[in-house]
Amino acid sequence: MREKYEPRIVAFLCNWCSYAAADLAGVSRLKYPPNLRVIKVMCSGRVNPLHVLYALSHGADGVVVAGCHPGDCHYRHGNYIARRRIALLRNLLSFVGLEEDRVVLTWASAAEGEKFAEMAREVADRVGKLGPLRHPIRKVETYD
Amino acid sequence: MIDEGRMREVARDLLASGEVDCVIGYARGSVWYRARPVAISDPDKVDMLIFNPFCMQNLATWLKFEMKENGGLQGKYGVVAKGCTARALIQMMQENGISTDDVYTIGVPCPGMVDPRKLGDDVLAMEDARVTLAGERVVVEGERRKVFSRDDVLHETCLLCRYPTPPLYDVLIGEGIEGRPAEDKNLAHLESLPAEERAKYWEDAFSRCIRCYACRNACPLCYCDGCALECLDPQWVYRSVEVSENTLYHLIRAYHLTGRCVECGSCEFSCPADVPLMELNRKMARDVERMFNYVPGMDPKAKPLLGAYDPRDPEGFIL
Ligand code: SF4
Ligand code: SF4
Ligand code: SF4
Ligand code: FES
Repeated sequence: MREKYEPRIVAFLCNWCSYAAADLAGVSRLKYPPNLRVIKVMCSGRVNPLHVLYALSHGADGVVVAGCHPGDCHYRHGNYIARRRIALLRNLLSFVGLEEDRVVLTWASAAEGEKFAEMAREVADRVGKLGPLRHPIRKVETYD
Repeated sequence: MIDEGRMREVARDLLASGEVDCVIGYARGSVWYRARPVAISDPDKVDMLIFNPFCMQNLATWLKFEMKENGGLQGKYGVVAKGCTARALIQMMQENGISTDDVYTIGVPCPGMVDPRKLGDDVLAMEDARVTLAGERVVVEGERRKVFSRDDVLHETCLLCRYPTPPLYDVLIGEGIEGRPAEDKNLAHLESLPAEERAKYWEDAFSRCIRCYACRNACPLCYCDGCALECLDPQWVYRSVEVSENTLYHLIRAYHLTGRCVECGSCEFSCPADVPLMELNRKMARDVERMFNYVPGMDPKAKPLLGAYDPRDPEGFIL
C-alpha cells in the first residue's frame, strides 16, 4: 500500500509538437506532477487504440494521447485520424463501464510548455479523483 | 419468399457461360432447421441451392476462408448475398480485401432469418418441416402446423436490420424490400444504466467467454493476416482465459469492427457462450453513424472510416 494514491498515467507524445512541449516545460522548470510516464511516438496518428487498451489493462489508471494542433501535424492529418479513433474508443470504454475521462486527447505545440504543464496537472487531478482503475480489463496483479 | 427456381437458373447460367468459376450459396443442412454453405462449380448441381429462413451464415465469410486457404481467390465467385452479405462484400472491396472483379453478387432481398432456438424443442423435434415467412407471421408446417409471430422467432439482428436488400448487386432475385428496423430496446437500456452496472454486465458476459475465437472466425471482416488477437510478437492478448484478457480481447475485437461491421450477426450466432457481441457492435455502429454520418458496406469507393477524417469531426472531448 502506498502512502498516498498517485495515479499512473501513460502519455503518448508526438515527436514534433507535444514531446517538444513537454521538453520545454522541463527546461523551463515548470512545476507539474510526475505522474506521466512518457512514450514518444512519431505522430499521434501512430497511437493504435490497442496501445491504450493494453496500457489500461496492464496498470495505467489513465492514458494521454497528445499531438500537434489541427493543421500542424507533420504527417498532415495524423492528429485528425487520432481524433476519430480516440473519440470512438472513449465511447466504447464508457459503454463497458470504464470512465472515458481516463483517456485524454490533447494538442500542444512545441511552444506550449506552460499549456503542457497545465494539462499534466489537470489530468493527474482528474484521474486522481477517479482513483485506481477498477474494471474487468485491469489485471488484478497490477492492483496497488 | 425468394424464388429459388430463379436463383438456380441464374447460378446455372453463370456457371455454364463461364462468367463465374464457382457459386457460393446455401444448401439444406443436416436437419431442416439448418442450412449449410456450398460451393458449386458444376452447373448440373445448382438444384442443391436453397434460400429459406435458416440461411443465417454470412457467405462473405466463405470467400475469406477461400482466401486464407489458397492465399487468394482463385477465379471469380458468384455469391448468394442477403443484404448483410452484400454489405460485407462491399466493405471488403472498400478495404481492398477483395476486388470488384472477384465477385458476382447474386442479390436476394432478405425477409429475415429464424433463430431455431426460439422455435422450441417440440417444434425442432419434428422430422421435417417447411418454414415460410408471411408478413408478420412465421409458419412452420411439418407433422404439425405451428404459427409464430415474426417478432418472437426471428434473430434479433434481423428484427433490427436496416438493409435487407443488397445496396449493390449484379442481379437481384425478385423485388427489393425496405428495412423496417425495430426499436433497439436493449441498447437503449444498457446505455441508460449507471457505469458500475454496465461494468458488471460486461464482466459477467466476458467471463462466460471461453475464447474459442468462433466470433472472429465467423466474421467476414475479420480477415486480417496476423490478427492482433493471435499475434505473438508483440502479444497484445495472452491466451489465458480470464476476465481481464477476455475483456481486452473483446474490446479489441469490437474496436476493430468499428466502422466496418455490417451487423450480420454471424459472430454472436456462432458464440457457444451467449456473449452479446451484437450489443457492442450495434453500439459502435450507431455512434459511428451519429458522429460521422457513416454507414459501412454501402459504397466500395467510400473511404474507410478510420483511415479518413473531416476537419469538422466532433472534438468537444479534447482537453
Ligand atoms: S462483427 Fe459480427 S455482425 Fe459485424 S460483420 Fe462481423 S460477424 Fe457480422
Ligand atoms: S480481430 Fe482485428 S486484427 Fe483480428 S481479424 Fe478481426 S479485425 Fe483483424
Ligand atoms: S465465440 Fe463466444 S466464447 Fe468464443 S471467443 Fe467469441 S465470445 Fe468468446
Ligand atoms: S506529428 Fe504531431 S500529431 Fe502528427
